[in-house]
Amino acid sequence: MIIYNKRGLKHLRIWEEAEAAYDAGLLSELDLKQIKSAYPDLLYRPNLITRIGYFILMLIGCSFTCLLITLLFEAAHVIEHPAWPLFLGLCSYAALELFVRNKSDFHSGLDDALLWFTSGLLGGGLIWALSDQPNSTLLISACILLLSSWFALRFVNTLMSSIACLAALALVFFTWNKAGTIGEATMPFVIMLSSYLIYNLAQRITSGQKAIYYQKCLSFVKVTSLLSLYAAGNYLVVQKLSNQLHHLPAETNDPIPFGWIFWGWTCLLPLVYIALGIRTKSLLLLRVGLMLIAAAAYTVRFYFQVLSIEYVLVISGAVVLSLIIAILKYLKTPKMGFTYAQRSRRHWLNNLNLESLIVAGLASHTQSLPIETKDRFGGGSFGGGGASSNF
Amino acid sequence: MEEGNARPDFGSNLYIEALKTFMDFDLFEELDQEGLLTDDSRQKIKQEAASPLLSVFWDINTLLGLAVLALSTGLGILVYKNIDSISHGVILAVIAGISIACFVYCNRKRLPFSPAQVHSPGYLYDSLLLLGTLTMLSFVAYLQFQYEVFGSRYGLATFLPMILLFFIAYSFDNLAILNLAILNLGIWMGVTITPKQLLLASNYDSARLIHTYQLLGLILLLFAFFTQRYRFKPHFKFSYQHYGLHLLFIATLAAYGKDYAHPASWLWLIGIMGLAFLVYLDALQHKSFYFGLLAILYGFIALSCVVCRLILSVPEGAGVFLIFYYFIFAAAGFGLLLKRFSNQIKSS
Repeated sequence: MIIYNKRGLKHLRIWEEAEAAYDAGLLSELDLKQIKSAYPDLLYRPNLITRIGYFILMLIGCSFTCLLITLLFEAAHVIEHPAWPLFLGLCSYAALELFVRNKSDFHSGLDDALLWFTSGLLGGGLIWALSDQPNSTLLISACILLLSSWFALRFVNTLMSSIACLAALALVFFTWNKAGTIGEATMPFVIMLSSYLIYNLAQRITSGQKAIYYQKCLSFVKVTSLLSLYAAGNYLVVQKLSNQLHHLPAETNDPIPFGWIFWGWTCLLPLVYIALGIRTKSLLLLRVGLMLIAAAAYTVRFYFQVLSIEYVLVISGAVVLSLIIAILKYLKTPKMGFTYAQRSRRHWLNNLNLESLIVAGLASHTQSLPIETKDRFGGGSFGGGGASSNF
Repeated sequence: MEEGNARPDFGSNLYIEALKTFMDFDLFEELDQEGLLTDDSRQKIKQEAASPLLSVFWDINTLLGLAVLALSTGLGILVYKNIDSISHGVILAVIAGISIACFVYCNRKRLPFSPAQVHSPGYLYDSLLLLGTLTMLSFVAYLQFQYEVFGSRYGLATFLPMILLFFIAYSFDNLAILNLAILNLGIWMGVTITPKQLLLASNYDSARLIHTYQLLGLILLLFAFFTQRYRFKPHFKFSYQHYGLHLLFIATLAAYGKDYAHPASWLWLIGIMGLAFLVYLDALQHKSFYFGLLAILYGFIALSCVVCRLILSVPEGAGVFLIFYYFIFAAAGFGLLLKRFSNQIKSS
């Protein structure tokens, strides 16, 4: 199934495990070197920055090649039919297969670009071809599901596996929507159930040893299904979607039947995720749960504006800050299998100083309310007003 | 910033760290049976398998950063909204108190100053330093707003926070605050220079603004050069060079667009290519993939502008075809250049 060199993938996995163990201080440098020379790196894997460069340049090359071919056949009116992007997509897929089989590139940016270019052409062509059919949404989501599953399986692509997961949920959504009013009323629960089933399936495959090269894809599927499991019961999402299904104006905030179920889901599920994450020692669950607390807070504030934004910010900031100081004190020695010790190095983040750039980007809004920037050089449309409500 | 000894796969490492739960002990069992582990490592891994440890280092630090940003933003808005109510004195005192408390804490914890990189004692320290700095900025802003301490001398009113920021960045050795200081330098010169806003605002009509951007870019590059030359906080070079390069490249492209009708406008493009070449050489010398890629991409853009203009200036002929051919071959050529560049860095 996987197109890449299996032995190369095996060695890559060993490298990654060994490096993680080395970063955690469990392996000596000598061991790391020994393991690496016993399992040499067979794949061409440039670093992230080179990969981005390759990706951009390859995308430019592919686009202009297709434009050139299209221009050559322009007289035949090829552009007017959806078969043309499908044909170009098949050509580019053939190029992709040939390229990966003959080269040792593994996610080098070149194969990534070809993959996304191919899927863009094929997906776009299919949507174009199917959009005037009856049941077009059903057909399109089924096609996207097939296409992205194939790409995810064959090219071990993480984002493609997330897309496949979403397409599967879309398929369920549109099928169930056919069931009329009963379908509409039970929709959130059906999506919840299917998300849970997808998560459960991914979890089972992960713990078995069969899909060893798909660990990252499975993690992406799990994150996607956890998020959709939450979104399916989130009050805001359910209410806005039901507005859309009943063709009500989007601004109506009428309470929905059985609202308390959804309020409970909105507020409690993140906590459940966090608790489960702590209990099962899963960083994935823990991190998704932490992120969703922000989503829950946003939902609550959307309906009940009890506090103005600045008090929310000050209070939540102060609470989180004191909570963290308490946790730091608690974790001075490792407890319950958790530690604050740094056990991994984030090379590329450290190298790019990304963190400090992000801080500067965020803070540029907050710190400049001061001086109503009367620019010394004229112009300069910026400055002032730190009151951004979408923090 | 010297990325030379970074491992080649650090892109994919991010996924592992974000999503992984435990290491694969079976795999290490196998490796051990092949005799690839020393006794010491085997002991450590066995111990780990018996009681595995999960590190929440990055989670806690992310939350810390968010908490600090939320707190300082909220306090800033509070001051802004309550500026003419009775409670403003109280709020002001609270803000000053927080700022002073943070600085007292950091001053007590900090390591002695040195021109080389001084590693921070921890993330809590970094976050509190940032909180102290941001609240201090709110405080200075309030003073100006309410009492007009600096009167209408807006230059001075922006100059003082900038100097303070640079001083804090250098004395406490903090990159986040250095970035804030660079940003403030931009405000002082009449521009806000977060790249995002550079792209969004795209307010390129005014020639004076463009030349200000160019000047600022040059000044930042000079800072980067001297930082490297005199080895004074050499790890600050990245920030200066990052902002300076993007600013200078984008502003010069804008200058080219503005002067498009002028017969000598191609000189700007030559300037970009020359700068890109210098940056390329510098990146090779200092083994920086990031700046090498920047040089290659901006060089590609400038060359494409020249070629397209040349092709389109021929009145009749297969202009569009030639441009398509050019882009196909140029993308391949620059791809090869990128490959050569990364191989050169890796082999040196």
